[in-house]
Amino acid sequence: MTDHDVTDYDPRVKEMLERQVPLRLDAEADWAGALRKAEGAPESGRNHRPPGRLGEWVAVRMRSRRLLVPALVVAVLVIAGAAAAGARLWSGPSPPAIDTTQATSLVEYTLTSDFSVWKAGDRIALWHLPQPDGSTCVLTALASPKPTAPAAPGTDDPNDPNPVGGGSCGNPGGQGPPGKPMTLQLETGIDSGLYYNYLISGSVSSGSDIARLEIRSDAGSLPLAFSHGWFLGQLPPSSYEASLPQRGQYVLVGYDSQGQAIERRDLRQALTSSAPFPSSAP
Amino acid sequence: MTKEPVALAALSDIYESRYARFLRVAEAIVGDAEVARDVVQEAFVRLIRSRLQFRGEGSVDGWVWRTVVNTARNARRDASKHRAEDPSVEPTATNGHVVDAGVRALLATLPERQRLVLFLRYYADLDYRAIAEALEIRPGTVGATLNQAHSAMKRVLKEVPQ
Repeated sequence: MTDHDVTDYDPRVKEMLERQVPLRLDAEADWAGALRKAEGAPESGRNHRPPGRLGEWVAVRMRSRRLLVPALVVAVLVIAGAAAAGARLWSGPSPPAIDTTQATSLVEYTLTSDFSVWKAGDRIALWHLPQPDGSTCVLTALASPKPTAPAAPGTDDPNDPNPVGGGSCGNPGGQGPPGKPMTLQLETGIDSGLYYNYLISGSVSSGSDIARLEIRSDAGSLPLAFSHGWFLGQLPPSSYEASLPQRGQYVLVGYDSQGQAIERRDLRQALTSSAPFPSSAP
Repeated sequence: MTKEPVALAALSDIYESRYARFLRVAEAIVGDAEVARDVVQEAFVRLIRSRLQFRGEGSVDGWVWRTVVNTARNARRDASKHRAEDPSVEPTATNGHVVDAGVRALLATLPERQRLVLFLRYYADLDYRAIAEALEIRPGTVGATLNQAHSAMKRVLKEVPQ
């Protein structure tokens, strides 16, 4: 992996950098520890905060409720009262197995760029998954075939044609807390190198007059797929996590059947805060 | 979607043989040795769990480095969002010598891509192709970025009376 023939290798720069961070040859590697943690903690693709010092460090220094995520690099920012609605996230050490036997598709969207394990052009969907305990999960997965869940938490089945991605489980009402016209989630994917991709999904309350949604920004508007009161779409990639692609406003706008904007959400604020963010009439 | 699962033994070999370099790059990115250890562990936990999803696009080494770098970047970014401005970010020189704090400050002012290319080149000893894979940029971009970073570093050296 080394290449000392490269001419652009400056010994003075090397010397400067050498003093900054030492090569800790005496540091003890702990492969067994990594293996134990990988096998004992929640499966990939689920949302959880990693235990140990990294988790504590992040928790203490950021004071953020955003969740670090494992292998499938899907982070879900749960926003706008999902927690208040009684939603439970897989933040504990033992996430429940997801029952997919009654899965029904809520809304479908064709990806415009790669996201997580999916490719641009893949058609994905929000899936409604009633659970045996009466709760409901809403998760992203390919629109077809019907998603399947791993046999047990902590396992990955390479033959699974449609593993479920990010999402949340919660109250059977499903479409957000009363009094909240809209709830939304932003999933962050980092599997495109240095670029972060955002998937936006959510629902409008059953009494809402919203008939269409789009994201307005200085760059134009991005329509969201909207069906059964649920919406799904994608933001352009960003080079920084928790940062929208361009400066300026990014606003999720809901329109009624007459084309009047009746609901707005500031996505920039949504990205930087896990607290319920304000909604204002147009 | 082509998938070529990565054997645990292969990951283990990479981990054991390059642990010190992973640690060094992670420490350079997060600025804390203890956190760097956790970053490397967390990165490998992710790699172990996601080995079945490895798409076989590019080398395993590139995938591993990319995961370590991204895990460290996330940790640093998460922390920096709520951290007060570091007073050491202003370059300083003392008695004609660039002090370490000055180099640190200079590094802090470089664009992230330049910093990462420097770290992977000098701390991980990766060649252009490997850096390009780790950062998912073109090898030509690595060269250009490294040149820019070198220029910035050399400017500081020239400004210091010999």
